[in-house]
Amino acid sequence: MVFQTDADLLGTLVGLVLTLFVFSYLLGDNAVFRFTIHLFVGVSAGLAAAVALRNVVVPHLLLPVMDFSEPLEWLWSFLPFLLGLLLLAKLSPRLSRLGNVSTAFIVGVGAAAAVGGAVLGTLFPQVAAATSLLDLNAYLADPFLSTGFGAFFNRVIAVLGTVAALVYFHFGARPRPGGYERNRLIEIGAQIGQVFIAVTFGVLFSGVFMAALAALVNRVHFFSQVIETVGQGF
Amino acid sequence: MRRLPLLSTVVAALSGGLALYLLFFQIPGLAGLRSYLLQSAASLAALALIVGIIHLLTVHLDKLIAGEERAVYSGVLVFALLLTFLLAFAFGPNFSYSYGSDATDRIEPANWLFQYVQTPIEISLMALLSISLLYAAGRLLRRRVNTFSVVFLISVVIALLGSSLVATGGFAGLSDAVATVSQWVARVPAVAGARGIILGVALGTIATGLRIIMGSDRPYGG
Amino acid sequence: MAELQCPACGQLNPDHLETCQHCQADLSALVSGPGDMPDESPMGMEGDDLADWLLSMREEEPDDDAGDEPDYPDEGDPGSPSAPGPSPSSAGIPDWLAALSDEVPPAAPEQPADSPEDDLADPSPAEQPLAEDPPHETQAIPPVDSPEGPPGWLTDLAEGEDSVEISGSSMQVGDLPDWVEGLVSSAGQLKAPPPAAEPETESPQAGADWLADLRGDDEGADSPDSDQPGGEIPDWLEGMDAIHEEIESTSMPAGDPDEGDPTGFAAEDEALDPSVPQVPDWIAQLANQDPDPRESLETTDENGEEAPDWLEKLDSMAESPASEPEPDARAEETADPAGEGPTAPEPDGLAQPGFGEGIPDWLDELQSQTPPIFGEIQPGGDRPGEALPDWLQASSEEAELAGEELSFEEESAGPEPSEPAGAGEAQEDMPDWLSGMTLDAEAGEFEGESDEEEAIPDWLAGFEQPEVEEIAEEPDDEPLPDWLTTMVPAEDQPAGTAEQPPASMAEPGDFSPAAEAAGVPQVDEPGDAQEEADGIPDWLSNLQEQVPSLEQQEAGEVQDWDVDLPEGEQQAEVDDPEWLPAGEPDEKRDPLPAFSQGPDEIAPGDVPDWLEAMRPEDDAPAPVAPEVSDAPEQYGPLAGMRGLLSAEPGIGQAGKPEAYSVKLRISDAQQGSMEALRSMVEAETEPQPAGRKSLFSEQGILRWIIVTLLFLVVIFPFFLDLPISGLPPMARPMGNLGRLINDLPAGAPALVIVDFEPGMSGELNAAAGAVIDHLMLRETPLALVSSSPLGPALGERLVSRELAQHGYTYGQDYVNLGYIPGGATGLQNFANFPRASLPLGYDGLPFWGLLNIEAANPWNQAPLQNVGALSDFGLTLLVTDNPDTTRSWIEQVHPKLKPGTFVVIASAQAEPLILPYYNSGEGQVAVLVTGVAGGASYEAFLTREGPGRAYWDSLGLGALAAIVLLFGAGSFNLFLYYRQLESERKGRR
Repeated sequence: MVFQTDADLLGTLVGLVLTLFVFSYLLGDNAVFRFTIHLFVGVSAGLAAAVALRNVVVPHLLLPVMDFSEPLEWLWSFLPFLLGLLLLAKLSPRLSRLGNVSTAFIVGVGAAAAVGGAVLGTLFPQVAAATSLLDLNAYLADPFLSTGFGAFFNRVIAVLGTVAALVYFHFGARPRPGGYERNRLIEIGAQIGQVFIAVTFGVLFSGVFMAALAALVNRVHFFSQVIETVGQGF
Repeated sequence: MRRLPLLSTVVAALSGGLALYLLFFQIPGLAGLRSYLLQSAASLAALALIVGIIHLLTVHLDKLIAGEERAVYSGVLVFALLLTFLLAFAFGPNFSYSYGSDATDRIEPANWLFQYVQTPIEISLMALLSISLLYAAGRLLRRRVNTFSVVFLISVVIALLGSSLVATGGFAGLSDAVATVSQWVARVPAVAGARGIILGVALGTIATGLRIIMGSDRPYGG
Repeated sequence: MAELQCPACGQLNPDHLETCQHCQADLSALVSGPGDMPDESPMGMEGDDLADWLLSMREEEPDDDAGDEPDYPDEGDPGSPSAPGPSPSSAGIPDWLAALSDEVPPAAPEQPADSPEDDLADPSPAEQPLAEDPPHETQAIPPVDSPEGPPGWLTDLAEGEDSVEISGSSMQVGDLPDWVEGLVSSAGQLKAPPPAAEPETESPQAGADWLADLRGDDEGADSPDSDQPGGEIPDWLEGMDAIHEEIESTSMPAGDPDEGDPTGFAAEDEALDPSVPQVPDWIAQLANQDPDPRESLETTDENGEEAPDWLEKLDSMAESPASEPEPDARAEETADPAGEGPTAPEPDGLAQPGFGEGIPDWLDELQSQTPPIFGEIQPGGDRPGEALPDWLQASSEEAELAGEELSFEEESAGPEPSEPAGAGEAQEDMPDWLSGMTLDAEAGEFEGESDEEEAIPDWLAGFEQPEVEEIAEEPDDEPLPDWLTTMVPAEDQPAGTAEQPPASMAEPGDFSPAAEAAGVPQVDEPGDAQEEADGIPDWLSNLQEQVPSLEQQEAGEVQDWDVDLPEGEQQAEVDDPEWLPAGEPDEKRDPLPAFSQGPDEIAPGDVPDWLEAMRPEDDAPAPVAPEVSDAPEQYGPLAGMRGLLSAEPGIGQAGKPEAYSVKLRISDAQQGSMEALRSMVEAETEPQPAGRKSLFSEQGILRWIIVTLLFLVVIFPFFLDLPISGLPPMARPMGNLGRLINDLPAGAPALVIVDFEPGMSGELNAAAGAVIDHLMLRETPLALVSSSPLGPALGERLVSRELAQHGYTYGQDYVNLGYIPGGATGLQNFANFPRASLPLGYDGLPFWGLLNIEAANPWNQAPLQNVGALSDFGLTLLVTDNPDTTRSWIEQVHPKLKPGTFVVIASAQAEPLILPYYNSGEGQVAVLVTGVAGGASYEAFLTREGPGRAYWDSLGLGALAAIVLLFGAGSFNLFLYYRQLESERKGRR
């Protein structure tokens, strides 16, 4: 471990102590752990606020309003500034409703962006990918499945899994005397989809565990480096 | 005040509808308007983040002033928040302060706090998550034993095998077989299920977004 | 108690007197009646008791004042009208008075559908008999067995009735007792109307107005009773109620419950009830008894000589079978709203022999207009000597006349909602006099009736037969007006139809909102009654003078009727039914028999258009109507008659109606349930202390095993310092990424998106480090950006700390564009307008330096000088741990990028959800590097050592340990699971 500055050395020690504080949670909730968590939240929030303020609010909301050289542009700039003021009203319980207008503006534009992105960026490409099994051009180009039966099988599985997983999220049911009942085909598809989703979640869980394990390895590696550095006398 | 909900709905519908229109019909003359809408909304979103942080600060300040049982932790939070904010905002996050003539006698206060305080803590928390996840997976069979849980655990084991020493330990044919099976599971059935999930999310996003634009869904408190 | 209350003037007299010392009214009926009646008779009240309840009433009525809200729950008590029997709370109140309370308007709170209490309480008992009643049943009077013959006093009554019969006119003017004159004097006390009301009462419409006011008075009098539990009903009244109910249940006259309160005005009565004074007792008795109607009639007649005449006419009408009430038939016979005259059947009934003899002109007019009522009212039509009291007939006639124009809603809100007693019980409790009535009825025209009907007295048969005849004569198609139907059961009360809802009373259109609010009915078109005013007896005229005009009522004016009362009694009128002067017999206590009123005396077709138009369309619950309709007249000469306008105008209406509370009343069980639910909800919101986990429990040991094993296997490779495993399998060819970076144009910047949380830096620094290292090796200008507020700091750390060996300098070799807010919105803005979206970067400028935005603009610095759009970046590298943000970048930004240059370095936890984009076939993700394995693979591709390779051994071992632990922990917990199942099975065994 190389310390570029004295502050790095100090920071390494601080980091080591804080890591131990967090690991103390393995023994149960304790004051040290709570102190560490509050410290972490404070630093994180402070930095995020500073970044947001410097990076966005100041250049986009404050500075344009302070520029009166272009009255028309100033008017254009004042509207988001006004919405920002209304948004600050959220801090007051009595005036919080005023902020709903600003929130509505954020949500409205955000919904439009999300819809457009979902349609163009996910829905069409993924549907096309999922229906590739039905692409006759692929079979005409390779009528004998030279890529192997395995590839064809994989595509069948991919289509089946996609459709079944979508069916699994279909919660429509018809009212029946004994309650609500889904269509039998839907029910079968949902059962198959549940298997695919279970596999997906299993892989996801594995990935999360590996990511967390990588963090653990990182901390252990950090310990080993500190111990090694200390053993070498810095 | 009574008509604020209506105003909010109108604002959401108009802004969303206009933004959506300008997205699909990119009219050159209205590019500025589109940028204006998007930038204003994004800037307000950043301000909303700040508002949330201010609220967090006030809550803990209240606790600190009230002298509650664990006010000391609130004091730590407030102190850390204000200190970090002042350092990062006033001097810039990359601000470097030299306290000596030597090249090593310098410090970047905001980055230092981030690198040696926040990052170690967060990584350590993530490390704890590995233990919790493993413990939870082991207890899964304690709570329920059904098809879903069995398939789930089998998938976890197979996926882990692909990253484990078994797949990379050079155990002759075993490693290749394990790696092949693991990769197949992660690429074919898992991707199939993931694609279904993604499509479901996309459809849900479209539906929700359109509902918001049409005013039938008002998550902004209208 | 050696005093008797004069039925006429209401004042007390020594029991030895046969005539009232105040009004010279005949008290013999009072003396003989109670004594002759059996104990179980509903009228089993002795003369001594009579004085008691009078006194007690005066004493307790103030307490029974409705107050702000009537005591609704009590209505559902056993002591409620539906459950006869005095309640403990009413111990101090005479039974008969309690019965009044149940019969009179306060019924509003009892109305099940409209009152909120009814929702909580059991359905009003009144609903039960009514529900059983067949609607529009032609048989108006059910058979009632009364083996016992009528008592002597009843015989007298019958004689009196006969004398009152229109045809017979046996009662001469000279027969009018002296006490009638006293009644006149007492009525004169009520003459003085409020100043504001005088003009109104003097108007031609006064005839209708005062009737409306009278009705309102009844309501007002009833309100205090609403607080009284139904258990206060006297036994004799219960018997009556039972009889009425029985009759109703067996024969549903025009007073169909459905028609009872179609308007739902009963609910409004609730608001009115508290404000109105208590119903006079004597009226209640009048409504239920039939002691000596002649006396009561005389008391009401100011002119003792005139009264006999018109009473005789009325009596003759009552005797005439044709005039006897059949609800439906009577409805058809009802005079038209304009008062032009009766329908065809009515004249027939009025044309009985002797009719018109000695009857004043005005009475002739009235009779010609409203024959059916009298026919119904008259108890023993055929029996000579048994006659409906003249005054009652007259009053009923007038009431009906007025009823054409007046709304009887307030009266209809009257009581007697429900007397659930069965027919047999009713018969058993039936007093002798009533038995005589049934017998008379049997001897009457009801030959075709069942055996039970044979027991109906003749005079009662007189009620029934006319109805039957009229039913046969007149079509049933025409619905009986609501307000008229209310009168039917009232007139039939002697036959037990008292409970039938005087639907007409509940006619909503009859009242204006203002009047309703004032608790006073309003007359919509009183002009017709004005014609009959000429024929109204003087005592009625006096009453008219006392009553404020209906217009005033509509205007919401406060009723000043109390002004008319003797001094010192005004307040008592409001708060206390004992408004009568102390020491004087209360009119309310006049034990006059209760005359039921024919329900169908007015044909539905005769209802004025305006009245029909005002009829509410919504149907109120059936039980409401009977309560409303059976309100007996409590004041004045009309006392005892049901469905009539009260003779006592606006008692208790001096002030505005007392506010009533809509406070929800709930039972104890409901209260308990509510508390239970509340406690459950509160328990959910309360934070539960985190239980201390034992370190040495089964699961604690398992947890420690996991911790120990994981730490050991992770630490082991670092201290071993030897590679224990090979490189991870190349999931994807890293060569593509290598070639992509190597092919970057010189000077073409790369956009590095650092979009992950600091907690993932352990994995992603290892994954992205090699790729960024490759870029820096290529001296590629870098532009850092992030959609996370902490991302710029992570990027700064990655470039300037992790890869500090490359010596990249901010502003020269790289820039940090900073934070893109707004999620998809900000990303879309950044994709389309990158330079405008991030004018200030993540730099080290002080705050004041930001004022010079151009100088601080990262886009003006060297790495990005040639970048105008995202497509100008030679490579876009997304380092992410979140599939959602990855999707946003792909959806929003990818279309603006240079095709095939979008590389994603993802955490292992995001890979499954990013792979579909990578495999989509459209090149949304050109290269995907996943986790430490990907970083180690790229390091291997670069033949460089980095954190990826350093972590890989520990990860490989850790993954293997995790598999082992999963098997171990899974097996252990599976064993516990089955052991638990086994124990549960044993437990079930």
